[in-house]
Amino acid sequence: MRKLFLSHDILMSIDKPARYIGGEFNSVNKNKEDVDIRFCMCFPDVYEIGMSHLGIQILYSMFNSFEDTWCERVYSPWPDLDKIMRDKNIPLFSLESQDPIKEFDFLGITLQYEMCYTNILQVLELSQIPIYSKDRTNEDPIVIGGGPCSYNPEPIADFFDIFYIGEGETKYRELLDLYKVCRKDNYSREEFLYKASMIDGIYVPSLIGVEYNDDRTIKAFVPLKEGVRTSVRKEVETDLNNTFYPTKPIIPFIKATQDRITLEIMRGCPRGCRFCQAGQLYRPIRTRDLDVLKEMARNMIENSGYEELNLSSLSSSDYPELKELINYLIDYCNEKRVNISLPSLRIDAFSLDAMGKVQDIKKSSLTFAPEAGSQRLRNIINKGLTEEQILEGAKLAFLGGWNKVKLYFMLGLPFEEDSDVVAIAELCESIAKLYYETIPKEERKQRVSITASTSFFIPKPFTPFQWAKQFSLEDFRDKAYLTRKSIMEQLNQRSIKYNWHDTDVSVLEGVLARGDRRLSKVIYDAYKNGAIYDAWNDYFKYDTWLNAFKNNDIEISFYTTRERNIDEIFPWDIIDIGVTKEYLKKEWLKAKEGEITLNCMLKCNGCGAAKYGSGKFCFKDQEKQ
Amino acid sequence: MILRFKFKKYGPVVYIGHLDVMRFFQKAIRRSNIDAAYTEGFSPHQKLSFAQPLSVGIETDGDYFDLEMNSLPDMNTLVKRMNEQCVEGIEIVCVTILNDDADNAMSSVKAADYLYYFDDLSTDKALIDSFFSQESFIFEYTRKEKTKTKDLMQDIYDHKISDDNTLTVKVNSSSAGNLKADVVIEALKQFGLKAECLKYKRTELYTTDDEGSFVPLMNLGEIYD
Repeated sequence: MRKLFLSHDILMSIDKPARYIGGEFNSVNKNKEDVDIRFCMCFPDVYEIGMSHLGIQILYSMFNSFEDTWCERVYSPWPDLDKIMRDKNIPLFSLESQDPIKEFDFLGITLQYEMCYTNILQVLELSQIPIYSKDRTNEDPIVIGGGPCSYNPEPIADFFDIFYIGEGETKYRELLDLYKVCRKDNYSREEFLYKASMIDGIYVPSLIGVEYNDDRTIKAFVPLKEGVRTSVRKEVETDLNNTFYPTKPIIPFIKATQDRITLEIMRGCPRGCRFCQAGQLYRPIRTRDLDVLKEMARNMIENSGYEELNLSSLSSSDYPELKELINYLIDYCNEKRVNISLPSLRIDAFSLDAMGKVQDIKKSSLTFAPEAGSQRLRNIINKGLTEEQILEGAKLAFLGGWNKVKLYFMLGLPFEEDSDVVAIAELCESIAKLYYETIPKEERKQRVSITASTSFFIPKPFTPFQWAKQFSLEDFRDKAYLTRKSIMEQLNQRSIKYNWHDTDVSVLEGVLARGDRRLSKVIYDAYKNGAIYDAWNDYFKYDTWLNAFKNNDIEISFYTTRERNIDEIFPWDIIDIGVTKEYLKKEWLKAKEGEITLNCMLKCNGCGAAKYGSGKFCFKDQEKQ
Repeated sequence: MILRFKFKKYGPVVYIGHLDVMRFFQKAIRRSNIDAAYTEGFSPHQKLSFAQPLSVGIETDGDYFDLEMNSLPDMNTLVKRMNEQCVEGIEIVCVTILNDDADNAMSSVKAADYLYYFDDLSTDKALIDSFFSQESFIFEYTRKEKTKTKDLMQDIYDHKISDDNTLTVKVNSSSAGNLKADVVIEALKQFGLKAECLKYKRTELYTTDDEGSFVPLMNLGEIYD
């Protein structure tokens, strides 16, 4: 029987000890003597969050399909266990074998959001692996980062040996083979990293130097060894029908945040919203075939026992055979007594019919994400959703029996004016008014309920808004107050509820998102002074961070509210996502003019991602030429 | 038609709480593809009832759940089929086709056996026997910041010391007067027990028959293992 690393007394003294025991259904155990490579995958947040992530499950199934590799998992210990481990000098261990992480060949850390950076340092330190890459020896695991934040890895570059840029399905085999050869021939860590840096998609930050201008912007990236690239191109899985997928997902014992099957129907998004990083990073758009998805759904329902299935993509309404897929899933899931959680779809007769079949109309709500209140601003952000479309959808839904509407907006978008903020309230009012006009008094069972939520916009790398100034904390607050005030002034204000989230964390997220290498020391200092679990409101310590910036003589405004020159070299320019900087520049200038760009399923806009030679929609136009 | 499953839980999975064990079996039942009965509506769920929650960290050889079925699977292979969907440390022991007149698992539980492992009982046997032979033992103890006072002898039905330094105690486990296993140890210590209790586990759950005798929950129908 598997032995646990932690003692009974420790496990009984902490919250949710099942976070640390492994052994879940479909988790993989191998004999460590039978494998050449031990890889530990880490999601640097608590188990319930980490276990909800599809990417790790995909890579876990890929690595464990390799006979010579055993992939295991580790998550951030919760602060209660963190303290015990520090007090008793207990090293962090993996869930499957319960062996110390420091004994592994690789530690792969997924970078899903900027606010997990201090948790990375926690994982390294508790694992007793040197926090800085430069301090590691041949005895330490190779520390690899991947995922969305690896597209600007510079703020955490000093902590990682390698960043894998792009989708993990393509190059890991090559990297592992190189590792085996290097180990057999007794190559040093440095030699392995140098050779690895020649593999497509592999970025070794220690082999690149950064030169700065007097104004602290970047002057140039300099290779520190012969032949090291200063532009690393993202990797893309070109065939989603023939690749790894976790059809036997690990089933957590404790309830994960996403306690359901995730069926990934496509990657990429054709919409080109200018604020959206994922929309650019995951180009070109690629779909899975209908038959493949049907089979995957059946297998995953059989193999998991989950009660719910969820479709995943950036824009499900754009999946070409969505109707067929949903109709099939409704029938099959009904038979298997599995619930379908529908993605947010364009509201029309079909989606309302589907929603009516899978959920209780009285309890469910319809969701719109106009992101901006006015048409002017929606054009600037290229959110192709008009007020007419929203009202039309809402009317259909009201007639179908719905009376709850959720609306999502962003505040602090580039070129936003007070009138755009007030327009949020006016849009809510129009929807409320529409309800009372559409539904006769005697048929109204409840008051219409409209919930408007706002988040603060943070400019992200590789978007047309990467040049934009982020608004200040004070601006953010003023905008939220203005939203609230304008909603209160509406005739139907009692039907409108307004939610907004706190602002401090938005500032820090903005700094880290567009940060450079000089921030590694700030992150280190903040961590050493107690910053951890920054993504959790209860743990976020803004003052600790402010002190860390101050002590390192680094101005937050350099990263957030500063106006960036159109020709500035960005820290993330070392990465090539396929979409060209020229294209993003063009989009930024179009945004200033309020000019829209069409959905790229309708017309190729020449973003550059077509060079991957995949994604049939990107090529429709080119094939014709 | 109701099937009563008897299961064991041991090893690393003892750190999974009761609700999560329920969720585990709900999924295992789905994966096994047996024809369980479901409720109607938008989120159908199985008609599943557990006999008695078990505290986190404790092993069991004899816990139970009842599952309502639309039709019966092949009973001779059912235990194997279910165990294919289980993990190390969670194991179906046997299944009973419950008699029509049997109460559900939760309401019929009357008693539980706990097996305590000690380092060395050789000098404490007389003390243990005299503890359990008392007519009454009023004991005050604190759980979750609440102090309770109970006559333990009302809720202790039987005990047996074995040569391998173990002690089995049968206690009240009904919803009205469940006596927690660790309270017995605490009371024994106060009474003067020197031996160290290393661990304990639940070994069986009982209901009572018409004469009031204790009957293991699995014995209320035809048993398959």
